[in-house]
Amino acid sequence: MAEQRNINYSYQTNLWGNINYKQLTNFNEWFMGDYDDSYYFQDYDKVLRYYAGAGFKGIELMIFNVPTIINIFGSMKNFKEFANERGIEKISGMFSHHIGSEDKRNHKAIFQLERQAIDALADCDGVNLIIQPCGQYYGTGPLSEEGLRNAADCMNEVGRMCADKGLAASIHNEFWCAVNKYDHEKFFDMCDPRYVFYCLDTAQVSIMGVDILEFYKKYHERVQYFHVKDTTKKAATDAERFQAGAESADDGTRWFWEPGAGHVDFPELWKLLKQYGHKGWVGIESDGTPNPLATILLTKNYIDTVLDPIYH
Amino acid sequence: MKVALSYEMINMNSSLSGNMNLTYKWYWEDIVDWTAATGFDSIALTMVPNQFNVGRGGAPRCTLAINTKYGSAQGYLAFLNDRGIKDVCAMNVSAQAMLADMFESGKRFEDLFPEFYSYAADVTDMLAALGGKTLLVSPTPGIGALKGRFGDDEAALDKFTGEAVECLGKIAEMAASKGVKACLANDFWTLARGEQADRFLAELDPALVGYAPSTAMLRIAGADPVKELERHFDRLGAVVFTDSDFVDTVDVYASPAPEYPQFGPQQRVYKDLGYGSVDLAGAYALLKSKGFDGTVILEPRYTTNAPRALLRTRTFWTKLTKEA
Repeated sequence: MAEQRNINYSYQTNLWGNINYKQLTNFNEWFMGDYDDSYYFQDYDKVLRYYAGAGFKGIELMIFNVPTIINIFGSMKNFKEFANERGIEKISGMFSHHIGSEDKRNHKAIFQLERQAIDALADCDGVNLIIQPCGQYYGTGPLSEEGLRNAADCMNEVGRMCADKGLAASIHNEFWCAVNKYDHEKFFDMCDPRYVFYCLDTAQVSIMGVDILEFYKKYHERVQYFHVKDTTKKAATDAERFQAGAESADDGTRWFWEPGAGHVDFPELWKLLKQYGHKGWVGIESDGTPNPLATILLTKNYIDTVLDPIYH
Repeated sequence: MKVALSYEMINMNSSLSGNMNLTYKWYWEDIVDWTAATGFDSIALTMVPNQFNVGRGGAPRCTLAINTKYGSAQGYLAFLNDRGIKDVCAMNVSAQAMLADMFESGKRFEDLFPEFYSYAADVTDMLAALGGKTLLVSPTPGIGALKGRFGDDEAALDKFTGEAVECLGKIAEMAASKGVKACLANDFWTLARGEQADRFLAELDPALVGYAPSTAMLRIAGADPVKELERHFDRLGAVVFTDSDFVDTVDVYASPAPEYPQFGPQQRVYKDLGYGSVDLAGAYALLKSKGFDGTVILEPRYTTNAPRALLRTRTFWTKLTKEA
């Protein structure tokens, strides 16, 4: 009989970029002449089986995956069934963004985008719409009081749209976002707790200079989802966070690492999850890795040997 | 005959290991160094509309990214010159790229052509500033996407084609005013595929609109590349050398993801130059015999290994020109 778990892990698929094929069937078409491994990393069939083979039961998607998935599977529902057949039980979330939300004139286009995201996520029985609240800080921040309010109004409306479909809207605050260290709690407090929750990205928020353990203690009732990832760069400077295209740093800085490879105190965080009785899906995000398969396996090993013994 | 290297060799939608490198400035600067190291001094860039995720990265794929990472077109050109690249000879814009962007920007299909024109104008400004003279324009979204909108309504599709012709004409006028020649691109999955390019070329002023056919695109659309180059020789603004073994026996061109066939006996569309079966030697011989004075753009489209493709492309071009 399967063990009862309080939390299950889901893996964001963005470390694979954009997967273009449903299923590749001819190894030689890719191998002969080139003699490389490209056959293994271009189709959902294999990527989903890598996740399931490593022991992950859920996946997350990016909003930009939706047109491709609909093109190649016909519908999100078909994609879900395809994933189920390969051992993936849940599509736990989808990442989206509210670029320009500080300006009300952009809200109509944002709602149009989010309508598509919400319909797609609902069609595959998803759970969380994970939302970057604004564009990058460079060129946008710091936000005025009105700008912050507009961004919160936008988030609240999308939160209501999600609730209507049985989904949860969760803030995902990037370290380079226009909503940043000096106003991110104010922004969160402006958001309606009935409709807007929080996805705690352990690396992004740490890099922003926030103590994620204290943050979780304060907001644990609204933190209903996580993006688990590590960083070797805690508390980046304002200049680092506010530079143009900060996440794609010009010197190639790798911001995000497998859990256990950086400074984030996951054991203490998991003790808090246990203390507050967190239940549900926990997301893993590994954007930035040069080798997805290696990162997936290292992450699973960390869960098995460090996190699960604390709380699962 | 001039020669340039197309950076559409790199598939920005790749899921191969290392795909995240593609958003970094260092990656593209390495490619520039290796381009010069393999003896090419001119490049062609594919540009997409300014969009948040592309615009904040280091790939020279939209004007926002170039301006963000290099300050201006002049800043980017100074960098290229310093590394041994003398110019960006051409840029591509695509109505399909426009349509794809409209999903994430929450815009309506009805806005397609005005949005496409604005995007083309923005790219043309940057191209002119980079010393380029040729704007390659893929004038319609994919046939698969259009079928999703118009179904089998031939009249609606014909009307839409007319609007695409008109939009290309306006883009060409705009480009000419900036010293740039617009050239029709013939992606095998658009309404300008194969011999269907004829309608666009026939309805538009030859002085304003040239033709920049891709050899593999012609072959996949059922046309003979060498014959088509000869037939349209007087309109050629550039020729894009691409290679392929793909034969479209199941109408992949009209599917929603034509460059990634989901069905049929073949799923790989493009090959590195010299590794497919397109008659590139014949194409080169024709261009040479007729004294073509435009640019041949070498494009190992969507290679699975960019450094290897660069070396292969140099080998290919050296052999081709030596043998001819």
